[in-house]
This record gives sequence, structure tokens and C-alpha cells, in this order.
Amino acid sequence: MELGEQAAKRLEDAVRRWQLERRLVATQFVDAAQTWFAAAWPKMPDGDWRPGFDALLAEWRTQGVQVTADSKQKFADWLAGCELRMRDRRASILEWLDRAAHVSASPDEGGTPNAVDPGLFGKLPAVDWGHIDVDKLLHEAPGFRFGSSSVRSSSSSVAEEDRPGFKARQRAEDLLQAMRSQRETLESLATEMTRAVETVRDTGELDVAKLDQLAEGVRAGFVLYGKLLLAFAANQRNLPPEDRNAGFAPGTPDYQEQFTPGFRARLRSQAKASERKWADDAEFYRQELVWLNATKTTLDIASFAIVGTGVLLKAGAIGGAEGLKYLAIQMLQIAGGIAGAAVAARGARAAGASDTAVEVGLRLAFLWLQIRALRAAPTAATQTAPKGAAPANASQKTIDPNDTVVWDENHPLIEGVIDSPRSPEHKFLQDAVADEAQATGAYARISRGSISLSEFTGIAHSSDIKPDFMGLTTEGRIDMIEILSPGQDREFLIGKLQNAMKQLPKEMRGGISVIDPKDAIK
Amino acid sequence: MIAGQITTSAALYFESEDGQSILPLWLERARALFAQYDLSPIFFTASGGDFLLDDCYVLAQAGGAISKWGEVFAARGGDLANALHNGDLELLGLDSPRAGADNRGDWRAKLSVASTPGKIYVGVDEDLIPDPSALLRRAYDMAKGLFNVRYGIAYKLPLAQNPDCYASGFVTSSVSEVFEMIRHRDQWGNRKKNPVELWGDELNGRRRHLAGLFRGAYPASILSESHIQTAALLPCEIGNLSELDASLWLWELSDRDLPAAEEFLKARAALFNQAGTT
Repeated sequence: MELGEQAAKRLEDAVRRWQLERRLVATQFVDAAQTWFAAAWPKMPDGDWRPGFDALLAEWRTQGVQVTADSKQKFADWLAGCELRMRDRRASILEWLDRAAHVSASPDEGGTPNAVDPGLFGKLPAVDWGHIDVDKLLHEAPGFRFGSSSVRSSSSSVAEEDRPGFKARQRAEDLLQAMRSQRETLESLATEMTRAVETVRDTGELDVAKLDQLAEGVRAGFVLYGKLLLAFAANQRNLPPEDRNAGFAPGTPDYQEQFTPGFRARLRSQAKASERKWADDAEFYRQELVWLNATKTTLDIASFAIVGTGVLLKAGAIGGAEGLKYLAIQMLQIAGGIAGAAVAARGARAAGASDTAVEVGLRLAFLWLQIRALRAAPTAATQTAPKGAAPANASQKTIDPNDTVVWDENHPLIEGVIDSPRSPEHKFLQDAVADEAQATGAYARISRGSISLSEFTGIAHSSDIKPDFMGLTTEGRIDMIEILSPGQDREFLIGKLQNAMKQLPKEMRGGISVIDPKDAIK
Repeated sequence: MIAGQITTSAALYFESEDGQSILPLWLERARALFAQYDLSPIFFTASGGDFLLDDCYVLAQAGGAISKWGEVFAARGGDLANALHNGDLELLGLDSPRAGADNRGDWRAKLSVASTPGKIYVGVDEDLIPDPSALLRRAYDMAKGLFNVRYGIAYKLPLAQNPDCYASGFVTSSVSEVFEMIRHRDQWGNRKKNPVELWGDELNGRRRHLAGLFRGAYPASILSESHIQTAALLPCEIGNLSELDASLWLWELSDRDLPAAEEFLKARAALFNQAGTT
């Protein structure tokens, strides 16, 4: 394999890892932060909503956080009527309530604080979310040292140790300190990543190893932070009511960072800028901002860098250096939440990108973002066929030779490779379609490019073809998709698929489709 | 592609037997049309022999390969002539790109013939042949003696709307639509098809357009006796109906006549996609 191909493969692998890991971490963040938010809410200084909320909270405590339909409705009514700066979080809070009904906390003060619903976290194979060893976690947190928190200092009195919840208070302090350290680490990683992206923009040079290293650092940082956050939220339940949120009250740095109006205003501003700039991808950004909203201020830069660098890496793998330069500028703009496509195009040209590179880069960016948005939306297929529920006739492959593609009995390995030469858009779409089909769980086999219909079906076909995508559904039908290349005739390409389909037994005939990359975004 | 470029199109549908091959005379007639308007180069795609439908070739002798759109298209004019002579080809398409085209879909003229399902398409820029009726006559002259034409239509469409695919009943998909297909397999299989897709099903299925049913009312149509009978077109009350050949008629409609003609055909249950006829 040539060096260039190796680099491209590594980039693709990195992106794939990111896309998967990041989605998992985001889910975890939303859950943990919403729990945290709910615990902190009684201490917020706004006025008239508090008595109502306190009453509801007391009700929930009585019920052991078993949220009933009735209490949820009361909460929803109350939320709809109050003047809250958090009112626009109504949907996510109500979603939290649904989840809260399934989360139980260990009452053992010194024990594992976050026994969680395996149904929710069992879907996260890359990280062991089901059990978090807090001591081990704290040891892993960069910059954190045991014994440095105030409650553990030598000045702590016997009276303090005798108060109920002493261990939990210690743990809360430790966790808060570890989270602060971790945020600093993430901030510095974000700065480094931004710098790396700027280097690509300025010089066109792509340091694959460095970006890989940074990506891994940020990924691991998010995972650790998510665990800390979850442990902190769970630990709150082990504190006496009067001590809850002691380290997370209005006026404390952690609270300010999470909930200040300035933070929310900045998010709104970013949302508006993003929606203006990427009108077709508003939903994608909504998803992004929902996530951001649930995490920390300091992470927003890093998260944008992750999105941006993910696009960059993808573009680098398939679009070459010219496309990369352009996308670097695009993504830096997103990170800053400023300027428009025209400025980006000027910047790209100034950086030496040709008109073709600008066009290809823009198209790739839109395609990538659109596909991300499409994937973010829940689908009937993914809802009805979760990874945990195996269809009866799914593929039983158990070996992943690349050790990079996420797959299992219901998400088959993608067979074949993309033929060459193919345009960047062609390769990108071919990958995207295969990935999407894999993710649905609706296909028992998937092939991409280099596999012939005869080989795929085991049925000899005269005038054999190698479609860009073939998928054998779990119901035994074969779908075929072609992606138009500049030199191909679309009319004949569809005809080719139709003729191929006719050679299959009727019960195996599925759908056919031809995508023209130029019309891909309608 | 020039924004708003309008194309005049003619589609002929003929009865064909399995394995019917395309004769060399078709290529001669097609080349004459390209030559008349000084259109060059000519690309082609063929099915049969050692040609692949995926690929694009140049209609020139060896040595005339063209490098375009990041690919090199081999000159295989000689091979094409041999394949036609040997009766190897069942499908042949020729097109000439517009200057500055960035893909093959941006043509000035395109001609194609497919023995399955029996279809000829001729499309040209509106400025070359503006009158659909004239183009339909020209297409018929090219097919005469080679194919048993039973039905034909002529129309104008923007090139961006793929007038060649319209003739074949093909539609291309956006990435969103493909994802919908992948994600919702069951619903997709039972979806309501659009009129172009229904036409594609008819062409590859019952083919009742060869036995007297219409796709719709068009500026010009070639009709068989059975069409005349199905729609009871004689005496003709809308547009102009004239004899084209011993057993074929040419029905010409002005833009003003089209809505009334469509209603007229509906009233006689002469449309292929009408309730009760599918």
C-alpha cells in the first residue's frame, strides 16, 4: 500500500472512530448534565417558580425519583407557565424525566454511585459506562491530586467528620476539582487542535500523526469528563439535602460556567450564525447545540474543533490538499461562528485553492453535513432494529479484518472496495450509502463497488455488473445503487440496474437508484 | 450546464423481439444528424460485444482518445462498426457535449436506441431544432425500415430535468431519497410512484402504449391505428391529425390545445395510468 493510501486510510479510520465515539459521549453528557442541572435548580436565584419546584422536588424525593405521569404533567404545566431563562430547555428536561424513571442510585454512601440502566448505556460499547470506579477515575484525571480538597485537609475537624454525608462531600469536592483540571486539559487540547487546523490552512501541510494524536486526546478527554460528570451527579444523591450542590451553587465558578446568560447568549448567536450559513443543515446544528448546551462552556470550542477536524480529515482523505485547505477555512469559521460562504471562498482562494477545489470542498462539506444531519435524525429502521435485537436471518460474521468498522451480527461488514478512478464526491457518496445501510440493521450483506452481482448473489448473470452499492436485505431482497461519474450516461446507468434486476428471481428484486452527485442535495 | 437550457425531444417506442440487434444503418443516420449541426466530438455508450454500459467511448478511429473530466475515453469507432456489423449490440447511445461541459449529461444532442424495451430517444438543443413535431418526423425517418415503431411523443423540457430519462421513465435520486429508501425499506416498496416512474413500469411491464394507450397529450405524437381507435380520434376535433405512413398517424397539438387533449384522452380512458386501465 502506498504511503498516500495509508494516510488516507488512517484518516478515514480516525473519522469513523470520532463519529461513533463522539455520538456516544454526547449521549452520556446530555444525560449526566440534565441530572446535574435538575439537582442544582433549587438554588437558582430566580423568584416565583421556586415554591412550585420545591414542592415538586419534595414529591419526587418522596417517590425516590420515580417520576409518574401525573408528576411529569404537573412539572410540564408549571414549566410552561413560568418566566425562566431555562424555559427553552423544556423538551430536554421532560426527556430527562423520562430517563430519570429508569435510573436508580446506590444508597450506599461509599459504594459505586452510578448504577445505571443497562438499556440506556448498554448501547455504548466503546466505554464501560455501566460501572465507574470513582477512585480509579480520579487517578486518571490529569492534574488532580488526592487530599487537596478542603474537606480532606488536615484542618477538618472531628465535628465535620461526624456530620452525615462526610464521605460524599469529600467525593464531591474531589470530583469538582478533577472536572476543573479536565476542563483545562480539554481547553489546551482545543487550542492545539485549532492551531493544527490553522497550520493546514496556512501551509496546506497535513500532519496526520499529530491530528490523530490530538483526536485521540480529545476523545479520551471527553470520555473522562463525561464519567466525572456522571459520578458527580450520582454522588449528589448521597449528600444530605442541605449539602447538595455545595460546590455547584450560584456564584461558584462551575455554576457560572454552565448557566450564565452570557453562555446561553453565545450559543444562541452561534445557532443563528450557523443556521444562516448552513441553511440546509439547521437540524444538524440544532443537534450540535443541544449537545453543547448540555455540556460546559469550555467544551464548545473543542466540540466545534472536533466537528471541523472531522470534516477536514474526511476531506483530506478523499479530496486532497486543495479541498483540505478550503475546508480548514470553512471549519475555522464555524468554530468562530462568524462570516459567510463568500468570505470562506475568498479565504480559500487566498490560501491558494483553485476554483475547482473551492467547489469540490464546498460540495463535500455540504454532503458531509447533510449526511450527519440525516444520521442524527431517528429513523423507524433504527428504532425497530436496535443493535441489541437480532433479526432471525441476520448475517453471522464474527471477524472484522480491519478492526476498525463497527459491526456485529445485525450490522454486517461492508464487502469490497471502491473501484478507481472515482471522483471525490463519488467515493464519498459510495462510502456514505454503504455506512448508512450498515447502520440501519436492515441489511444482512452489503457490498461496495468491487463485488459483481454474480459473486454477490451466487446466481450467474450474463452481462455481469458491479454496482457501486448492493445490499441484501434481511428479507432477502437486493437493492442496487449507482453513483453517476462525469463520463457516465445516467439513462443507461439506470437501464443497467433495471436489466440486472430483471435477471434476479422476482422475490429477490429490491430497489434501484442512481445518485447524481451534482443533484445529491435537493 | 447552461441554466434554463431547453431541449427538444422525441421518443419513439417500437415492438422488439428479445435479442434484436441494432443495424449499422442506424449509426449512419445518427451520424448524419450530428454532422448536419457540426457537433463534435461524439461520445458513445453501448451494450453488447465487449462494450460496457458503465463506460464512455469516443466515436473515432483508434488514436482519437479524449481526456476529459479526469478520465481518458478510448476511441473505439472501428470496434463499434464491427460490433454493429456482427449484430452484437442491443443498446447504443451517442451524444455530443456542450463546450465547457463538466459532465456527460450536458449535451447539445443525444440519440439512443435500446432494443429492450424498444425505445429510441432523440434530443437536441432547442436552438438547433425548435419544433417538436419536426424533430419527431426526423426521428421517425431515422427509425424507418429498422424498427417497428408503434408510438411516439415529442416535447420540450429543460436539460436539467433529464429529458432522456423522462422518455425512459427513469428518475435520479438525491442522497436524502436514497437514505429514505435504505432506512424505510418497507414503506419505500409501497410508496406512491410519480408519473415518470409509472411510465417506466409500463415500458418494462405491460407495454400497452404499443397497443393503443397514450402516455398523455404532447405537442406531437405518432399514433398507430389502435391509438386512433382507442381514443376515437377520427374525426379529429383537437389539433391536427395527418397520415405519417401506411399505418401511422401524426397528431400535432398547439400549446393551447394540450389541456383539452389531455381531458379528451382521459374521457376516453385512453391514458395508460388511468384508474380501471392499470
